[in-house]
Amino acid sequence: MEFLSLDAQELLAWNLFGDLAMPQQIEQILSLVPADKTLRLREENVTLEHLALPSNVFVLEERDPEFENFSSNPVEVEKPLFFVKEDNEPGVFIESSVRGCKPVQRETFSTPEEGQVLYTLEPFAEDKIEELARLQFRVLNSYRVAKNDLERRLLKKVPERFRALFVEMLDLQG
Amino acid sequence: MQIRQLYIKGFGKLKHLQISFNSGLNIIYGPNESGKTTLYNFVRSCLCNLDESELKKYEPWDGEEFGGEISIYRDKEEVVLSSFSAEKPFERSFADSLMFLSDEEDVELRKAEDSLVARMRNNLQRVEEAQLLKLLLNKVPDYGEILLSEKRQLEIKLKEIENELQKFHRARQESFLRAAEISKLTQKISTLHEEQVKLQTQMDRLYQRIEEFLKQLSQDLERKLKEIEDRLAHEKKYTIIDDPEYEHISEAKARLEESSALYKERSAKMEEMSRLLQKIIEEREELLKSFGEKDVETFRLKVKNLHLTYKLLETKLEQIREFESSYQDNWKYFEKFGENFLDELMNERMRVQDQEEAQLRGKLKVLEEDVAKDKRRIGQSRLTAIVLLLAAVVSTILGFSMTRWWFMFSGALGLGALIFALRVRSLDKRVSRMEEETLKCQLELRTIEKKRAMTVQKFLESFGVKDATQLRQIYQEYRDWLREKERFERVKSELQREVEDLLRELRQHGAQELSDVPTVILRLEEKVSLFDEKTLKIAQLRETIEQLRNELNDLDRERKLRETEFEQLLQSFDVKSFDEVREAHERYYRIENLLFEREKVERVKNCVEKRDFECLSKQYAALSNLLDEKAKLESLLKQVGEDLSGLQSELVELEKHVDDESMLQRAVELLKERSLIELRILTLNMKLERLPSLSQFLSCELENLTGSYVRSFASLFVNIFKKFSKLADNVVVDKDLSVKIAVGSDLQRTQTVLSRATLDQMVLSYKLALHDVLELSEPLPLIVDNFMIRFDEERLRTVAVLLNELSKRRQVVLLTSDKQLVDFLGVEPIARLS
Repeated sequence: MEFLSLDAQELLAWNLFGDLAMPQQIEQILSLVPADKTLRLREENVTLEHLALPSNVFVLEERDPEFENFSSNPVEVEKPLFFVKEDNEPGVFIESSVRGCKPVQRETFSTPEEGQVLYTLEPFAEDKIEELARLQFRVLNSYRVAKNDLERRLLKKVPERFRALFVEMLDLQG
Repeated sequence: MQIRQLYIKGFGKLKHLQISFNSGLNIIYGPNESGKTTLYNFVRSCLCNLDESELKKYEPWDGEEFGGEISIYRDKEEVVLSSFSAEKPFERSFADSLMFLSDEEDVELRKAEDSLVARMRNNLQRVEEAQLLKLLLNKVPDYGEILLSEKRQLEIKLKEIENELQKFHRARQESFLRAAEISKLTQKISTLHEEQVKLQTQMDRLYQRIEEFLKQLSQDLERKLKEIEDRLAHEKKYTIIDDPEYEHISEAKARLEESSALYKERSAKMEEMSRLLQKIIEEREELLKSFGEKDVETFRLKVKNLHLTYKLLETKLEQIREFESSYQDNWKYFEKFGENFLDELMNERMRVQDQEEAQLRGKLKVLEEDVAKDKRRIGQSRLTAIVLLLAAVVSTILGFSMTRWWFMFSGALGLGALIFALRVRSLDKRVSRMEEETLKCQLELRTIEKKRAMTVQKFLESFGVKDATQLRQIYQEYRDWLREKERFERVKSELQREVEDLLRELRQHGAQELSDVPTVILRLEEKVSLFDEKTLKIAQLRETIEQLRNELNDLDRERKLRETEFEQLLQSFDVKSFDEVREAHERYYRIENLLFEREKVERVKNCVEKRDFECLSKQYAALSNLLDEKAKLESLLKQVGEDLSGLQSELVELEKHVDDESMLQRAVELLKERSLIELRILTLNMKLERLPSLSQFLSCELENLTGSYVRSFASLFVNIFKKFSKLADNVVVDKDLSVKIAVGSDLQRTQTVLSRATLDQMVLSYKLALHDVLELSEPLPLIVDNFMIRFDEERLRTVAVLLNELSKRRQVVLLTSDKQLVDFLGVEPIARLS
């Protein structure tokens, strides 16, 4: 909607819909294009030619090599890009102000940005989950705290990376 | 335990000395005899009991205050110990074994202190841990299996999700195709609706046009019917002759015309015959005139006589020609030479050959004379040339002793010799040419002689005879012919007269020469026969004309009879001529047509009233076209209707399938689930990767806990000693922790085998290992007194690294006089002794 509200005569979008959008949704979204604007589309995953498209929406046959790394799809990119042509002047890319929802792997722990959900694969002790939750991390794998002095003593010796395995083996029956 | 501070009031040479220690590496630097060992022993005296004799050595001899204090941190509390206090924190042997190291150390590593060994054996606190670790190690394979099975299940589930996602993508593609299909169908349906409306409008317009056409047709039919009735009433007022009547009249007329035509034909034929008869009579009269006789019989006899005369003359003339042709060409010699013709002829031929021979012989004589003359000249010239050549040679030889011009003379002589030699050569060539010519003349003479022999033979051959006897017979034949010739001459003159008479007779008929006679006679004979033919023809024509005249009379009678009959027939139908009959008959047909037309119009009218389009379309192309158009439109309309209902049902069918929302929700759920499963698989992989390391870790831990203290000690000891010497691999540690060196197959005591420096390194390693194996609840400080004095530079560097590492977990106090070691350690001394 942000894209459609841009002050431009002609709009250009690449891969706007991705590989999940259904035809009815595409038709609904494209029917929102204001009548006084022209939207040119190029989709890699969808065949739009035969859909009931509004008269001001055109499907491009070929991808311009100039826009090789360019996508307007918020599912595939963190920041969708749109190409805007004004008064037939050479166009400019406009970056969306809203973040997309593309999964991004981060090497370090940091506060998630808008649209990001942080997971950690590294197992954490249950008593640390709350602390991590405060940092908006979702711990996929946790292990319980030591039950007695013996376990506590041994867990201290066991390196951090083995602790989850250690506890899971302790709880293993047999 | 850590040493925090010390204060010496008086101990040996050290007086009023205070030093503070830090927790890591502490270096106290001092040259030899600066009191390092004194300080070392002061610390020892504070931490463990020394013998009185040993302490007495450090008692100030000037009677000043003796002793001092040391402050330590142990079991989380600060303790101050005096060198004279009765209770010491450590037994001397324990402290010496683990904490102190001096260059005066006993290097005999026979065994560890029994108290230490006992302490190692009785570390019961870890049994529990070891049991648990053993239990965990046993669980490792099962746990690995569980992880793998969990991973496999997740992978199966992931595959299922992938399949389901692929299904979703396929379904999505189908959905797009369906959406495209629906869009197309909707468009088609809209187009068909438009077309249906258009067709319906066309249909209504067509119905209107058909109704208009029918109305117009009905009016036209009414008008036409009225016209037909009027015309019928008009036609019926006059005579009407139907087909049989007309046929009867026509037959009568035909018969009359046939008779008239036959009569006319015969009249014309008779006239023609009369004209022909007249013409033939005239021709015969002309022929008779051309004969020049009064009657034809006399002329016929005359022609016959002339014919016979001519034949007789011809026979005689033939005989004369035959005689004349018997004359032969070679008889002309007989005419020329008479009876001596043979000798005369031979002499004539021989004369010619003799002349030729005489010419050749003359030429031969001249040639022979020339040759003889030239040969003489050659001999003279050759001799002259030789003489001149010799003279030239002699002149050249003499020239060597004479003057220069003598050579010119020699050259002139040589030139003369050359000229004569060339002349000899040219004469020689001429002689050979003349000799060739002489040979040719001789050959020609021989040919003339041969010719002479052949001349007589050739002459006889020209008469076709072989000898003179036969030739004389031929001459006799010639003589006989000459005698006959006279008789034939007489006959010839007689015949000439007779021919002239004959020609005179036939000249009026065109004969000029004897050769014309047969043609003229033949022509005359033909004329006579033509005359006869014409006479016969005239008789025949006269007979035919008489027959024709009789026939004409009969025909004239018949013609008149038929004429009367025909006129009576016309009167019976009240008409005057056959034209009127024809008109009446045509009227009959007109009425018939009108009646038929009336019936047709009535039928059409009936069809119009009944709206029988099938009947009407056969007659009216315009209506037929309209009806065809209507049928087409109806068919199109029906087709469009069917298509429309088909498309609508297809559309309903397609729209039934549309449930993209739930499909999409499911796909989103699947994608989330897939991401989680992928993360879980990653976690499992991580665990599986870590499991062997954990197992190893547990094994090591268990080994540390349950394994023999000797093995632990040996392991630690060898690892440290290896940093200093390769001999570490040959070290063997006994159960009492005594150390021996394996040399070949024997075990040797270290003291006997190793150098003092290596022994020092081994003692350092031994004490460090011993401290670590004990795993004390609190690490003890290591206090070293100038111990590394025998270490080389490389070992010093090694020990520096080792002490630095050690100081991270254990306090180290190093008393040294080695400046290089201080540099290697890289730490500023806490105190300097002087």
